[in-house]
Amino acid sequence: MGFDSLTRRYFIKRAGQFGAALVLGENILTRNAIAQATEKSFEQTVFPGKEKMTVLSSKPIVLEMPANGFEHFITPTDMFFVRNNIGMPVIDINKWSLAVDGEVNTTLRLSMDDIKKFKEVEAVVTLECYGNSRYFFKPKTAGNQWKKGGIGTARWKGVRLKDIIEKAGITDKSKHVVFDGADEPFAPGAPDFKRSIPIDKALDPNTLLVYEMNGMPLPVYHGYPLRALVPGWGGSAFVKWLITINISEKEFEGFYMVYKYRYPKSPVSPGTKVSPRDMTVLTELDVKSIITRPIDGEKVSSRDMTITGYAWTGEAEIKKVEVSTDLGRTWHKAKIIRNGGRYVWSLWEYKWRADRTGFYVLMSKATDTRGRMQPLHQDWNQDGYLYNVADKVGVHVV
Amino acid sequence: MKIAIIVFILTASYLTTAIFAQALQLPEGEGKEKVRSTCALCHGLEIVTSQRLSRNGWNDIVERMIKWGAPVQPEDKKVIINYLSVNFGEEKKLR
Repeated sequence: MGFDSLTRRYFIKRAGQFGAALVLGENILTRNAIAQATEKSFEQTVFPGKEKMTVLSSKPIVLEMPANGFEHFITPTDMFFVRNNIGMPVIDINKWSLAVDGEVNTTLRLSMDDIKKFKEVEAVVTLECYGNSRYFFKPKTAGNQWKKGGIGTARWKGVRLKDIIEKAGITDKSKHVVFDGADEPFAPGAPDFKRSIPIDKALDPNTLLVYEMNGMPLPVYHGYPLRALVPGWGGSAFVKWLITINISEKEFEGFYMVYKYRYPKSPVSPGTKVSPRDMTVLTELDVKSIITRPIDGEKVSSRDMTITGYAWTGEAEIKKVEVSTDLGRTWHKAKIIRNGGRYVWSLWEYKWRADRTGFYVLMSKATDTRGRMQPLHQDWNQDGYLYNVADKVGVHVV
Repeated sequence: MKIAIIVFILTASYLTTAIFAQALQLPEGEGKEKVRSTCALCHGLEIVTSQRLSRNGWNDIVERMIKWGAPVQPEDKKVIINYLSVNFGEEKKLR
């Protein structure tokens, strides 16, 4: 097929989808199939509804939040990061259903109306990609080169996964919950994206299946019509476009469990290759803080400044954040301005007066309620996951 | 009709963006077309051009991709690794 006919074909396809969305007056993001049609043929720099994002990859779609996204405690949806692993599906809600099968007493097939009959729950939850900040690893590791923007916080609405699983009824063999979405690989035979979480985490009342994000139906980028919300864990557990929840006796052993999203069982020296059997599937996030203002390399015209940032952790809460303005020689307690509590980032600030003009390195270091503290040097791993070194930005006081 | 026109304009401008953006070019060199034809089967090329890896690092990645199903002919493997190491090596500046 020539380029012209390809163009024409996609033009027609897109015009139809775009038109339908406009006519129905629906949130374009929820019905927008444009990006999906596009990612199969073009490398592009703009995705509808996500124009402000930095494109790390167009196939699959991977979009990083720009630095000004941190100005919002609740990340606006159009700035919320996207990390697809394979092709984004277009789902017709009238044909969609969620199957709950495997090691259960009763297999379920639920429509969206059925799901909405369960008790509705709302939660603010921070979501971070396991690979966020990969850019800062030395030596470099392969993968999407996220800086700080593979994270966001949203207000989610949905139902407890526990309520659905209990309706199906668990057995002695119900040990793991495998999420499968409607997304499909780009090439025939390439692996599907599926991932499991242990039953304990699935039955945690904070683990949800969500259909709304920031007061709107989930946009297609974020898993329309239903995604998993596994607070305190990384993005790959928040499976999107859910169609099947399979309860299993064993941890799922697919590609995205065995070859990706895996971490060495014990520390290795930088550059060491580790085989899958010496690694385990990633679970909770580690404690982390970042400085969001000033930004790295900024020229600050006043010696008085407010250093601002966020701190978050996995299965715990933030206990304290400390700031250093002298390369870690001395540390000062920052003030928590907005405590997000469990599973939500906390906003902090530290007011500081520079005693001279010139160059400074500002650092931040968080500690959580389990006593975990950000390290000053990284635990290197070959795929660049869980980077949580005390943050560092250089500023010029002029 | 009005909607049709809006749709036309939006879609046309959108497509134009897509077409121009398609110009994400790989640097010239032996292996360029092989990288384009094999790697881009399963993923976009930004993930290639945004990496900075040592020759060993690229070797690992290419081997991993072959293991995962990338259709790389044995005689092309060296050419691809060399192309990637020369153009996207650790010492190359990120754009």
